[in-house]
Amino acid sequence: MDCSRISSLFSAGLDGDLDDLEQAAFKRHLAECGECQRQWHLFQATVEQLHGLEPLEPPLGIISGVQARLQEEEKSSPFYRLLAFWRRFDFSVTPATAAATLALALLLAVLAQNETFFADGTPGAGEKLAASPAVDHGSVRSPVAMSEMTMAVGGGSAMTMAAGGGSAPSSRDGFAAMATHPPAIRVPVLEHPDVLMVLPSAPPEVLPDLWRANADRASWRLEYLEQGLLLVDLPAAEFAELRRMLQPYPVAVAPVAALSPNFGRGKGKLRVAIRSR
Amino acid sequence: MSQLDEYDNTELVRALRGGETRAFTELIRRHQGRIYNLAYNYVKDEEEAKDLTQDIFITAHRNLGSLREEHKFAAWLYQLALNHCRNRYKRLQRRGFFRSSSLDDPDSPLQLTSGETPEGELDRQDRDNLVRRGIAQLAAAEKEIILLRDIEGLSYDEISNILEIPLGTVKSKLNRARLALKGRLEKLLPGTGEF
Repeated sequence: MDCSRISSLFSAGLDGDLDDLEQAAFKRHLAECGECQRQWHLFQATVEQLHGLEPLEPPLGIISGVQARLQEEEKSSPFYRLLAFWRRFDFSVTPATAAATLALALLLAVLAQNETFFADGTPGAGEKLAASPAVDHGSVRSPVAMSEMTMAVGGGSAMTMAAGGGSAPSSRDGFAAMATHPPAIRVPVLEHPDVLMVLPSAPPEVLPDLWRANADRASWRLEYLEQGLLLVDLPAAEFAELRRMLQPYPVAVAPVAALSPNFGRGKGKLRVAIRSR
Repeated sequence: MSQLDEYDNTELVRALRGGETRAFTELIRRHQGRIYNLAYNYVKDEEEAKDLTQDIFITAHRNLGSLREEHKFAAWLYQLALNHCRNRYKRLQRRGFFRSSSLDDPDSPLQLTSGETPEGELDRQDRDNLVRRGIAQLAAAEKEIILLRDIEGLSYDEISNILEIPLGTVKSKLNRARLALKGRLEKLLPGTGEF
């Protein structure tokens, strides 16, 4: 056995893994070779040093550190991030905020009531039906490009929008047939009337008659947009006269004072859309 | 309430999988010493070793689902630990972390620093410190096998499982690693005239 072979057997010699023949050759070589013997002693001393190493005490805080980091990880999961994001908002309500919110809600409720009101669809009931205000007179007023808002009339509060070409919503007859939902009224939105008057039970010739009777009035401008829809531009002061002309029929008029200053003050011009069925 | 400290590793892993979070604390308590020593002997820095130990346990917690055989938790944990140590050592080496402690030059002989007396007997702490430094200077494969066998006292079979190498290879690598360490410690070991 030569010197290079001996060093490869050091661990096996230390662990007692050599068979009898190898063990004998190993010992014989060490007895004969001073340098290999020295290396063998060094090798043994090295392993002794390794085995004699005092284990180090782990520093304090490993467990708590791991737990803290795991909690952090948990918090950084999408759910916890969302929760943390939500918690950033301050949902506490001060009296001033509550009062302002309440006032806003009341205002919205009033406006919503102005937007829609209801009446019995029965002829002669004499109750107001529906109206829709709009204030901008400067917009395009093409009968063709008319959008219409369909408003349920009666005890319900349903309101739907239909746009384009003035086509009548198919729900019209459906509403009429329903006992709890009186006929729907189509309101011309793009015509921007300040006031809408609805004549649910007037005969169809009322509007043509009204148009013919007043076509020559200098202060009025009448436009018969389509069957059942007359647009009248007139001084606000003369609105009462228009009402008188329609006195025989139950008429719904929009309470548009809040949105139509001219109607409220009785000054300036008014645009009135009159709708009959 | 069950006494978790009476559970073996397998039972603790099962308890943890069953939602018993305290089982993980018990596993850390039980293994933190070994893992910390492994990490410290690998990088030879207390702060890094502590941080590594925490990283190892967090990874273990995160990847517990990949542990198929619960009774092999310890071997699995050592595998995780060695992977972490390897990666951390490389990262620190790239950053020049070991330059001051000459751990990045495996061929440089050990230098006695202040507090370690070249003449006369070194006290145990100094000697241990030199041996640890010698280990830290070894190549990764040599270091790992010495740590597992001579420091952690694992069997050849366990080392073979952890390192995923044949038993014969474990033995031959261990011999080479010990010879390499002997070369590094030669001048400081008893009987050499310099210790």
